[in-house]
Amino acid sequence: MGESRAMTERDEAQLHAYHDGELSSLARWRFERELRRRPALRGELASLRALRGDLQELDGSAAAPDLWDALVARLPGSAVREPDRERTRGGRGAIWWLAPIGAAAATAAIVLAVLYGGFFAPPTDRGGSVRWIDSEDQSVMVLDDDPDTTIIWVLDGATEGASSGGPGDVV
Amino acid sequence: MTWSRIAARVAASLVLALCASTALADPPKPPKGEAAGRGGKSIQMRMMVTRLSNDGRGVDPKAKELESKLSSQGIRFDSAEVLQKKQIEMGAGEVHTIDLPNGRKARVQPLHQGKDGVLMAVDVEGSSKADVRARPNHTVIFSAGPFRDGKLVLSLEPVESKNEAPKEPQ
Repeated sequence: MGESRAMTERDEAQLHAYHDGELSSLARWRFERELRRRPALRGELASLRALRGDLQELDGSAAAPDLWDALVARLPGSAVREPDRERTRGGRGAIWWLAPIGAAAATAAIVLAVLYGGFFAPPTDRGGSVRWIDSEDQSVMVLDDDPDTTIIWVLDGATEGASSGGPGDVV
Repeated sequence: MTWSRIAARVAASLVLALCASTALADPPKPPKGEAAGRGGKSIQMRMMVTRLSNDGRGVDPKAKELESKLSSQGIRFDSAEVLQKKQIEMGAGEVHTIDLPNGRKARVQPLHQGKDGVLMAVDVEGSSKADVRARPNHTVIFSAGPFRDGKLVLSLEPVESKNEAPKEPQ
């Protein structure tokens, strides 16, 4: 079983997702199996990796110029010194007593979040979740509003009499 | 050598031969409820194949729950006919193939069972492939392609294992 088919849009999407580390572990495993079977896919992956290497090199070599000194030289002196003046105008002394109040408020907020916000609560108790899906280029809906049900619904045109308006009349 | 010694040796040889043949002919069977040959816990799954349509025949009583689950998500139809319904038992990694009435096949492979339920890979030919985690009594419903002016639906629902420790009363 060698190379059997050309790259499709789906292959390309999966390739990019794999390259960017966005596939779930099972999807990655499946894709790696595909990679072993299809040299063309491996070639595409190699080119992607090479491209990323080139881009990283470019990024590293193009040092951003530091324009601050040139800008400061053009600014009026008062504009540059203004923040310093504001800070030394006794401002720090005037609000020192607010620091413990702020710390107390932050602590209270953390305690409340822990007690009532579900910091340590288990994640929403959903009975099921879809980890990976492939609908072979067909439109698919995953409906999981109901905690006891997960629906994976492929819209295969032959029976979707109602392409006219969402899931309201899909059969 | 006396006759009694010869008889004793023959008897011992016969006993040994008998033990060996028993061991070879009847290897120990795993206890019922365990995955065949894997030693892991078996995974029980309710499976149902239903045909949905709008041909005015009404909803099969066995499909009432399915109908309510689908209609609550906006999937509407006026007829539901249950075509297959059974409970299947599988070991982790074992593939169970379901022959659908529209000629397609659905393959179900439980990959792992843990406290978060069963992680299973499901492949409905010509429709979708998915890896889904489902807790016991959580229904996963797959559309499984057209069939006789309607649509087939495959429902899978892991069953709570009887081997699990009972839950403490709250």
